[in-house]
Amino acid sequence: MSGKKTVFRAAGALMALLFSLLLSGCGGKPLVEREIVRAMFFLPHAGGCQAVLLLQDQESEKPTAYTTASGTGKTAARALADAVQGLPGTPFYGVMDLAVMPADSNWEQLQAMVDLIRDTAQPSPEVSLYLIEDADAALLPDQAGQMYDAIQQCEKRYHLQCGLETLGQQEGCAAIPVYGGLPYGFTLQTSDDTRRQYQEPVDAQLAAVLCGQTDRLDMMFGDGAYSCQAAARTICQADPERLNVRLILSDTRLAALHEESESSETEAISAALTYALQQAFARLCADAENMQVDPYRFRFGETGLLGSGAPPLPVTLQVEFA
Amino acid sequence: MKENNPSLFGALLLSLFVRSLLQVQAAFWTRSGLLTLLPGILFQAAVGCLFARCWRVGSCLPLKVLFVWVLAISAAQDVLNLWGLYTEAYPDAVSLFGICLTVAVPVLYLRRASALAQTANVVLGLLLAACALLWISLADRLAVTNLQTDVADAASMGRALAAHCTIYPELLLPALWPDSDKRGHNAVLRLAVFSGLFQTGMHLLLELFFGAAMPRAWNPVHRMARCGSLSIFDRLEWLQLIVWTMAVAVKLALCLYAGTRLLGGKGVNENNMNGLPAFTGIAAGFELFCLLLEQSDFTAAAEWLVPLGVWALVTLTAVTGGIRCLAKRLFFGRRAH
Repeated sequence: MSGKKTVFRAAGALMALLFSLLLSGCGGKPLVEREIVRAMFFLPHAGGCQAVLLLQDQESEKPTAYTTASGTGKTAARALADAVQGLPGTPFYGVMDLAVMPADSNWEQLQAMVDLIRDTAQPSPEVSLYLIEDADAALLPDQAGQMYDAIQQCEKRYHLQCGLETLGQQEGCAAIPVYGGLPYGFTLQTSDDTRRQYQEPVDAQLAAVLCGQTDRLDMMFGDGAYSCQAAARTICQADPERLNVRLILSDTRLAALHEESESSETEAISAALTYALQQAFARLCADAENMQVDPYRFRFGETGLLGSGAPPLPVTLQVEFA
Repeated sequence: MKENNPSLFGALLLSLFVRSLLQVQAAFWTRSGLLTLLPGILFQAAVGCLFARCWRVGSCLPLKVLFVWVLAISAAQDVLNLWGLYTEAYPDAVSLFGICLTVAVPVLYLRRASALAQTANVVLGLLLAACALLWISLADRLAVTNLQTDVADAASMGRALAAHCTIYPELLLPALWPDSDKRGHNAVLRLAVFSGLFQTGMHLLLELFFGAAMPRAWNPVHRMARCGSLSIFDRLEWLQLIVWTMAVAVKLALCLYAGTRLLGGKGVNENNMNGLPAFTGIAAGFELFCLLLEQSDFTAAAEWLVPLGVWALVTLTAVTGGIRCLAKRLFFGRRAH
């Protein structure tokens, strides 16, 4: 009996030891001792790349106070490693939600940067992707905080959502918003490095709606004569002769901005908006056809109706006001 | 007699679902998966039934040892997968030793068959509720147009068929407890149907979310969950991890139960198969095993080691069972003459 008791005691002691080891081994490093990364910026720099990490300033009580750490290298990975090396603590990527890349990157560089961000920022929730143009690499460390806040506001205002996880939804084509101040631009890039960039708000926002990256139009059109704010959604309907894209606008607010505008009647502004959207749609479709990609997924409806391999149908846009 | 003969079907189903979520992930396109679902189910059910039939006449000590080895490797693979998930969520925070302990401690309670059956049903319910919540959370991010339209070629169909026809050790476990109270009727067929449907359903969700990027996505289920509109998958990540840990613990307890049944002989008490000292020894041994495997490149090796072990077991059992059956018939045939 006593032998059995001893075995039980030994087992209990072993379990207690295992528990204490578990509790002592799972602590990890506390968050206050880590460098909290909020965003990652990459820019071309002297034939290589510059990486800037935007870090939360933990000594300040303001939530919008940041510090930066930058590094350079021949590739984005080396530049990032250089930036991380200069940090006093271990970086923590759990709350990082923005990655900014140069707009003139080729497909290979873009994929390499996306893979690098995905591998580095492992515990983060969805990271938003933006491209920037003509940013000065020397000034970026000072401007990164302002740019981060401005892009956050842009996302909120335009309901824009281009995540790292959903970048490659269509094979061989990337559709990414471009930030260069408000309103945002939009870029289509293919795997053979053909690129088309839209700076006109009508083009850029219609492209974002068709790609499923936003559900809101907030823009000026007609050479700045009118403004439109509306919730937008699309429905594609295919028949044997054509593919009809219905753009349904709801909660629409239209306004004439100039006193000398041709007409301030709602019907006239609606007609002008419809015309501007039709023109933009024709440009977007022509570009996609020239680039031989389907970023707006028009071929899906056709394949469902006619089977794969059928010649593409003409695509039309129908604007509806709900 | 639920108390004495609890059904372990829930634990088997949970183990297969966990394997689907932690291991298979993005293996095929949904269309190919749907087209190959029925042949896959029939194949799995046929192999499982054949194994169960042959095991009854052909089981012997070397085969039992091989079965235990397959179960141990498979359990270690699950623990390492779980550790991978933890290190992605909390890098540098948790060691493999800690994960082993976190998983082994619940098994202390789950070593009783009745506790195992009840807990497995609860965790299975939680897992299914979490999956339903995941669908709701991601509803506004899923696009039907992300479904790939030109992918049902021979290679894609082959990948889907291979995924559906994979024989997991869990499909062979019902053969160990021949009384139908413990596994239910047509257990292998039901397991094959439910796991095939679950796997295809998860692939549909992944394809609707990731589109063409699905095959390149790393740890896609977890990353997809974090992009959802409900912050429960983001903010309450620890809750998710507890469900994962419980699911893997149930699987480990199932392996322990099966292993004890295989090597424990006829005298073991069904509802309390491992005493505390024996369990502590097994848990410590398993931890050492996992720590040793961590040093080698086991994760890559396990991908072919487990299927190889399973197929070796199925083939040897079928051969042994066939020979014994034949010998019995010949022997009885001669005696009749």
